[in-house]
Amino acid sequence: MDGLSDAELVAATRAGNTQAFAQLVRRYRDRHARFASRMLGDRDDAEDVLQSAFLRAYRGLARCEDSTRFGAWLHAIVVNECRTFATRRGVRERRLVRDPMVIDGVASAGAPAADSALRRAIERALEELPVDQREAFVLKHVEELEYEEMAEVTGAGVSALKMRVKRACERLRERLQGVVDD
Amino acid sequence: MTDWMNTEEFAARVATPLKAPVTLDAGFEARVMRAVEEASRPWWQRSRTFTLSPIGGLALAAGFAGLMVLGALGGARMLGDAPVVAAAAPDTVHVVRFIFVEPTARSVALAGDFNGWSRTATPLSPADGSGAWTVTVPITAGRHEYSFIVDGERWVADPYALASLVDEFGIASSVLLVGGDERRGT
Repeated sequence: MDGLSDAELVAATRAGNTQAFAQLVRRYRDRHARFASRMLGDRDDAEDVLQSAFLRAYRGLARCEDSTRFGAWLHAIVVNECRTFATRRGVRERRLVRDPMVIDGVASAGAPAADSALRRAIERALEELPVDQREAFVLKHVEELEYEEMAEVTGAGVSALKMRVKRACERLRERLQGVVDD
Repeated sequence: MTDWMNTEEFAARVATPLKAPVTLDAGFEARVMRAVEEASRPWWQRSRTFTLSPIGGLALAAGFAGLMVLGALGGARMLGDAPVVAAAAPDTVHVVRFIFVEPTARSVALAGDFNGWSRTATPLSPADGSGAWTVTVPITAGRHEYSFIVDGERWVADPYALASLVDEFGIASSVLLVGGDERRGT
C-alpha cells in the first residue's frame, strides 16, 4: 500500500479496509508526533492526543470532503486535539513550575551538556506561552508552515497568526535572555 | 526591519533544537488500530452487553407505537420536533425516531457516531407527502452527535435539536442524549 495516494487510501478505508487506514497512520504519525510533543511538552501526552486524533479522523472520514487533501484535514484535527488537551490541562493544573535554576544552569553550562539543557530550557519557555501563541510559534518556526497553511489548519486569520507569532517571540526572548544569544 | 530580522534569527535559533524528530512508542500504531477496529464494528458487536427485559420490550413496543401515532397526527410542526427517545428504560435498547422536514429534498440520510458517520447507511424515508423524512434507529445510551445529509452532499444540523455545534471538520452537527430520564434530544 506504500505506493497508494492518500485519496486511494481514504477510499479503501471508507470501503471497510482498515489496513488502508493503518497505512495513513504510518504515513503521518511521525510528522505529527513532533508537533504534538512540542505543543504538550510530554511524549506520553502527545501519544494519547495523537491516538485520539487518528481515531477522530477515522470516525469522521466520511466528512473529509476532499480526500486528496487528507493530510491537511488530519493536520487540522491534530492541531485541534492538541489545543483542546493543552487548554484543559492548563485550566486543570496550572502546574507550570517556574524554575530559574534550569535557565541559569544553561547559561553557565559548557558543551556538550549545554545542548540538551538548552533544549529543556527552550521547551520549558515554550510551555509557558499561552496555548495559541505556542501553537502559532511551533507551526511557523518548527513545522515551517506558511501563514496561509497555518490559517487553514488553525482556522485563525493570517494577521492574527502573525501577531501570535510576534508575541510568542517577544515572550520567548524575555524568558530566554542570556540563554539564546541574539 | 532590523528588529524584525533579529526576531527571525532569534526564532530560528530557538526552533532549531525543537526540530529534532520525536519517536513514538513502538506499540503506537497497534494501539491506534485496536481502537479503530473497535470503532469500525457495529455497536452491537462492541464490547458491551445489552439486555432487553420482557417488560422493557413491551414498553419499547408501546412507546414506538405511540410515536408512530404522534407522528401521523402531528403535522409538519410536530414532525419537525427534536428526536424523541421512544423507550428510556435503563439497560434496554433505545429506539430513536429522527424526523427532518425538507420538502424540496430528493434524499435525506442520517449520519452520526452511531453509524460511523456513514453517508449512506441510514437513509430517511419520505413520511406522508408533507415534506417530512423519518427513520427509526436503535441507539445505545449516552451522548451522540449526528447530522442530516440532504441530497447526498449537504450536511445540515437538526434545526430542532436543543444543542448544535460546528466541529473541527467545519460540519454542523447536533447533540442527542439517550437514556436515563432523558425524553428529548438536547
